[in-house]
Amino acid sequence: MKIMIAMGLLLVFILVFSFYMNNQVSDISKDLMVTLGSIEQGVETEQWEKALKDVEKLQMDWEKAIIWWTPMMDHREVDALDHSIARLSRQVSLEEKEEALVEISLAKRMVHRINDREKVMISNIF
Amino acid sequence: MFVVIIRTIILYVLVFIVMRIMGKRQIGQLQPIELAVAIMVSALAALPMEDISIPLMNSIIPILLLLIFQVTVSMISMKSMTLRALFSGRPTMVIENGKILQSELVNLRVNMNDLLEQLRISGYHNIADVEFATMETNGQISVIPKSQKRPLTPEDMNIETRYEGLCHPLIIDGQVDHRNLNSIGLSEKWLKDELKKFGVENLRDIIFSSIDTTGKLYYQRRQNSPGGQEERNKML
Repeated sequence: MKIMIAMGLLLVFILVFSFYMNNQVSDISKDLMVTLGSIEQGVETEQWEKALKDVEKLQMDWEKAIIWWTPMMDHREVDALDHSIARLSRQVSLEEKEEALVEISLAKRMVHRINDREKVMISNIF
Repeated sequence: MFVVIIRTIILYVLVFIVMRIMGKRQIGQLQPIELAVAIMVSALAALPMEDISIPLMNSIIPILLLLIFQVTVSMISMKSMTLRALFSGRPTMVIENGKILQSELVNLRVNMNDLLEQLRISGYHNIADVEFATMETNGQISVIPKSQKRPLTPEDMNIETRYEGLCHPLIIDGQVDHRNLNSIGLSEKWLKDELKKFGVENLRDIIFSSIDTTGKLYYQRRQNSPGGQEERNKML
């Protein structure tokens, strides 16, 4: 009976942990999307100072995200997003409008895909 | 490279613990589902060992879930006969009263060559010697021979036999098994004194020693121990 109790507790722990991780991924990706949207607005209207501040915020959000995402997500996808954020930061500081806008849409797509992959959906299960 | 080493250690420890909890059955005695689970656990552990882009959690969680399912299924099987039959199947008679049950062989998709092979492995080279043969749930065939073909037992000869209990290993590779010594009410001092009578000064010089239910002490020295080479030469 002891082993069944242990297995039950382990199952509860795995379920709670998975639920918590799902929420974390969802919350972090929402924050990243909001910040990326704000950077996009700044770049489009060529408010570079505002965009730079948003990039700093994005980098801080990303540092937090990396802690949660790296142990859970495909490391290649996390690395790709990391590179994209690094490129975006440089493009905004150099005030390269077109390149920055392309990078923002790419980064948004990647965040969206990472978040989508964790959702309980038929397409993800099969 | 160190990452690979650390990941390998973590996964090895995890698989070791999981397989220990799952049970002690040998590979040959596994139920088909147990074999499948063992292979799944191995595959889940092997992939992230070599590919560091796969998060370790993607292996750890499925391995733990397989452990939970396997332990739950085995516990349910212990409690319920119906579910046991569902999970593990039932033994099927393939030879009954000396007759091959062809319909059962078809159901089991076992051909005559497989049946003959299994019978030969069980020690029956002539199918005519077999009274009953059953295919067990783990795929092995157990055989009851015809009464004239089974080995002679002391009971057949009306011979009285003495009780034969377990033989207790007392020293293995120079290490005294205190648990066995205590279980039969003996001590290390007794063992030392007994072996001293045969010229053994140090218990570490003994590769194996055991005692049977009649109190007969068996021992063998290590080849490179004092007296070990002598003992070996005598044997040769």
